[in-house]
Amino acid sequence: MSLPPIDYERPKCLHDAFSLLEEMGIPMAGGTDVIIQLRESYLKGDFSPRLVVDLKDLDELSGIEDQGEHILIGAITRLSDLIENELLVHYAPSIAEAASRMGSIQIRNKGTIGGNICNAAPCADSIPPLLIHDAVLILASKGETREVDLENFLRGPGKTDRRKGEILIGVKVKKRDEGGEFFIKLARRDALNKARMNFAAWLNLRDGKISEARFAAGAIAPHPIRVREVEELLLGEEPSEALFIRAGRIVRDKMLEITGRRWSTPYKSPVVENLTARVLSEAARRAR
Amino acid sequence: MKKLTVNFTVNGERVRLRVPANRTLLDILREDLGLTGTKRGCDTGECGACTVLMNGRSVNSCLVLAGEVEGAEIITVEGLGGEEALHPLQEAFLEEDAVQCGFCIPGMLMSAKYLLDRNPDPSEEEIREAISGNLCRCTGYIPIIRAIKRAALKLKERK
Ligand SMILES: Cc1cc2nc3c(=O)[nH]c(=O)nc-3n(C[C@H](O)[C@H](O)[C@H](O)COP(=O)(O)OP(=O)(O)OC[C@H]3O[C@@H](n4cnc5c(N)ncnc54)[C@H](O)[C@@H]3O)c2cc1C
Ligand code: FES
Ligand code: FES
Repeated sequence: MSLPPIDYERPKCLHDAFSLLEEMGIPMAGGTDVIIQLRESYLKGDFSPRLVVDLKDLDELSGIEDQGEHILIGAITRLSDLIENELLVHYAPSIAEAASRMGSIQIRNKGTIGGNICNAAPCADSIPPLLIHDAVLILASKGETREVDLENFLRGPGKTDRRKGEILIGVKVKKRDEGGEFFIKLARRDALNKARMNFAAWLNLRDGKISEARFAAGAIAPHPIRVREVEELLLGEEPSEALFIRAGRIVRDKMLEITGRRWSTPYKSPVVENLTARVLSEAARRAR
Repeated sequence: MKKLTVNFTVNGERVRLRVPANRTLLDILREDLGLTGTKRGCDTGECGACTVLMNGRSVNSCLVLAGEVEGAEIITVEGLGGEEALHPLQEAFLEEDAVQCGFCIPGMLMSAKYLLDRNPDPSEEEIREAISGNLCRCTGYIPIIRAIKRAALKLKERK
C-alpha cells in the first residue's frame, strides 16, 4: 500500500522542529500511528502533500528521570523502554504493565508513549494508568512552555488540546509509594492487541479503609476518563466484593449515559461491570 | 516531494541511495536493493513478515520511513546466513520441519534472533511472546517453537 507524497525532515534541535511544524508539518515519533493514518488517508483519495517532522533526534524528549515526587517520562521514550524501567516498575507498575501489553514487540520497539498520548485513541492503553498517576503533560511551542493535566488534554477520539506547532516534551507522573495499583485490558485476540476496553486503579488503605482512590477507564467514552463517582464511592469504605460490584454498576451507568445504548451494549455492560470489580479488588489486594 | 539521500548499512554493507521520502524501509529492501527475503504481508504492522533488526531492535520495516534509516544498521534475513553457511536458527527450522509455505519464516527468524540475542535460554512462554507479532497461517506455531528451542541449544553448544 502506497504512502502519499510526503516530505521528511529530522530536526536536530527543538528550535528547528518548531519552525518546521509551523509550516503545516505533522510531528512523528515512532510513526506506528502516523504512517498507518497517512496510508489510510491516501487510500481515501487524500493526496495533499505533508511534511513529516521526525522527532527522533531531539534528546530533550527522551529518557526517564527521577524528580523526587514525580517521574518525568520523555515523550519519545519507546514503549519497550518503559517495561523494565526500575523507577516505573517500583513507583508506577501499571504504566510498565500497560506498555508490556501494547501491540507486538516490533510495535513496542518503535512506538512511543508521547505518540500514544497525542494520538488520543479512545482505547489508548497508556492513558488509564497515566490518569491514575495524576499525569501532567509538558507541551512546548516557540516561546512558550505550558503544563496541562492529561485529563483536560483529551477532548475526543483523536482530538486533544494540543495547539498547532506544539510538541509534547514529556509526561510527569506522581510516584505512588503506598497502596496498590493494577491495569487490565480486554483485547481482540490478534497480534494487534488493540484494546476493546482498559481499566486502571490505584487504592491506598488506612486502618483497613480506603483512604485514597483513583480509577480510570478507556473506551467507555470518546476518550479515556477518570470516573470520580467511583472514587467517591470507595473513600472511607472497607474493600469488599460487594463494594466493587457497586462500583462496576456505576461505571456501566456512566458508559450508558455517555454513549447511549448501542448494538454492543448487551455485551459490553456485564464486561464493564466485571472488569471494574476485578481491577479494584486486585488493586486492593496489592494495597494490603 | 523532495528526494532524500540516505546512508545506512544492510547486513554490514554500506548503502547510499536517493529515494522519494514516501518509500518505506520494506520498499527499499525489496525494490531498490533486491533483498526479497523480507516479505510484505499486510503493510500495516500486523503480520510481522517484514521484520528486520534496526540498530539491534526488531521492527516492522513496513512502518519505517526512508528518512528514518539514515545512519542505521539494518540486518535482514539475508544477513543471518546463506546456503553455504546456515545460521543455527535456519538449521533448526529445517530440522524441525518448521517451514510450510515459508512466507512468515524470514520474519519469524528475525524475531527469534532478536529473542536469542538478548535471552540465550528462553522458556517456552518467552518464545511464544517473542513471536507473538509474527503471524503464520500454516504451521500452527508448534514446530516453530520447537525449532527456536533447538536453535537455543545449538547456540549454547557452540559457545
Ligand atoms: C499493529 C499495531 C498494534 C498496536 N497495538 C496497540 C495497543 O495494543 N495499544 C495501544 O494503545 N496502541 C496500539 N497501537 C497504536 C500505536 O502503536 C501506539 O499508539 C503508539 O504508542 C504510537 O506511538 P508512535 O510513537 O508510533 O506515534 P506516532 O505515530 O509517531 O504519532 C502518533 C500521533 O501523535 C503525534 N505525536 C507523536 N509524538 C508527538 C510529540 N512528541 N509531540 C506532539 N505530537 C506527537 C503525531 O503527530 C500523531 O498524531 C498499535 C499500532 C499498530 C500498528
Ligand atoms: S508487512 Fe509489515 S507487518 Fe505485515
Ligand atoms: S509457513 Fe506459511 S505462513 Fe508460516
